[in-house]
Amino acid sequence: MRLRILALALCSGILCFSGCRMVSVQEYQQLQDPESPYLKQAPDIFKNQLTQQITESALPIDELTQKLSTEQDFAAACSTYGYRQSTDLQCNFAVKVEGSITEMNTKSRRGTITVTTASGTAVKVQIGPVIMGTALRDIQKDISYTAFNDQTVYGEYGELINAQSVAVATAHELAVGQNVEVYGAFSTWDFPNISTVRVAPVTVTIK
Amino acid sequence: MKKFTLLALSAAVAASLSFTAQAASEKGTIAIMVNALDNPYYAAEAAGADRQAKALGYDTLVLSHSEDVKKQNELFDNAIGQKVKGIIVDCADSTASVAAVQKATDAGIPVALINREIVKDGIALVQLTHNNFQAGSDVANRFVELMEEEGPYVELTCNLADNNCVTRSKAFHQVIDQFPDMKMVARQDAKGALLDGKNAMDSILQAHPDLKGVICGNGPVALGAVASLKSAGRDDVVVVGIDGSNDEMDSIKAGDLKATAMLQAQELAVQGVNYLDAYLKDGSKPEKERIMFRGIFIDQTNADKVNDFLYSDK
Repeated sequence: MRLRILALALCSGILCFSGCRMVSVQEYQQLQDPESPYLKQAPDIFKNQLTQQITESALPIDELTQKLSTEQDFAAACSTYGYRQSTDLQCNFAVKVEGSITEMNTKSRRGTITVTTASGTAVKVQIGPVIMGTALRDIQKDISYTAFNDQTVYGEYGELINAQSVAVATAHELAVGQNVEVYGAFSTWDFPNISTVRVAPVTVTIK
Repeated sequence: MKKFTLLALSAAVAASLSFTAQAASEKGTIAIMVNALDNPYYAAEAAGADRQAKALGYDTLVLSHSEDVKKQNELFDNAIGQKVKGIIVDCADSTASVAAVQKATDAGIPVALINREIVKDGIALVQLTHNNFQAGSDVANRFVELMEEEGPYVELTCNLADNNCVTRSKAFHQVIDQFPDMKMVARQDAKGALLDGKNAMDSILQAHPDLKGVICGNGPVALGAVASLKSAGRDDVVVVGIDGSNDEMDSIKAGDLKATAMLQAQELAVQGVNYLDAYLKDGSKPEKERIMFRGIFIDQTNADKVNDFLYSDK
């Protein structure tokens, strides 16, 4: 028994003086697969960076479609009016949609409201609870895939950003007939067909 | 037609293998290593790299490591011994391949990785990969739409030992799990193979005759599921997959497979060669080491634009 205690004490001593440290299973897993700090920061990034970036750069949807209609080359149009990290990714456009709610689809979990502008353009704005796509993640200029180097974690980050968008959309009791101002973003591979555009919001204001 | 295409690809590969007997070109040789040359996806990768390297004036050495790390290591030794100018490789393993890539880099031979990445940065010249997460999300979104957001479904994964397959599965679930009325009644790893996909589907169908949809991790597995469902007379079940082979395109055109995401195998290989060529010319490196290529969503509206993992809008 004494021998066992002595051996245990000796082992502990070796561990103490060899610079080793016991880690929990959780710590070990984190060391193997460190979580991206951006996952925890997603709500703050949405609130303090992304919302500002979009509201400052957004074009009214009618103005954007008019400008795009004069362009021949989508890549050039994207670099002038939109943003993408590389030509192999969708182009993301920041837009402002102002008008009245003329339709609501809350039957699907991919819920939308249709906002019709003063000029009669009908645009679908996503209200969740499932937000489709990654426009809000991908429009960010400061945070790209390179910061993650892991497709799954990058995907998770996109979901967390979308969750903030859902919170924005569901903060109001939206109804047909209300006038709203929405800032948000959408993604497209080519010149957009407005009927298929789905704007993911960063702000929704009832006027 | 597809057999002919595969034969043509194999012939191109065989022609490349005979390079040692020919006079070496002034620009030297680029070694191209992929998993299996009898698989349409890897054959397309090899063909794309081979064609581009030759167009740029290089000889080529096209080799298969059969996803065997030891064999891949020998191929690297051989390529280094032959003093090739560059190596383009769809590596056998993300972790074990680090040493082989390091060895070539230490020998002054730039390595461009395609499809499968390695876990370490700063060794390869460039790592070009498919955006499997985006491809999986796009397919899952259509799947949810076709399932009308509800009903029992099955997931047949491609090969959970392959990180790309794991990523696709995670992407599926990140989308589908947001729809609580969609119930996964079975999940099975079909090893990425058509026959395993068919066998898995045969047994699952017996246990779950009320099945409404099947989401598959790759093309062969999806085609196996389609074959099983057809033989059972079940044309009411929605099947989607990822890959984009010509056989999948035929199935989509026939209305059996509902959607897929085409992985740009040839484009990835072509760009890998271009990066090697630029580096060999003047030492220029890509802005980023890791570059992702999108999966192109395919359904009946654009299936005719795909040939051998190459998408043409013209």
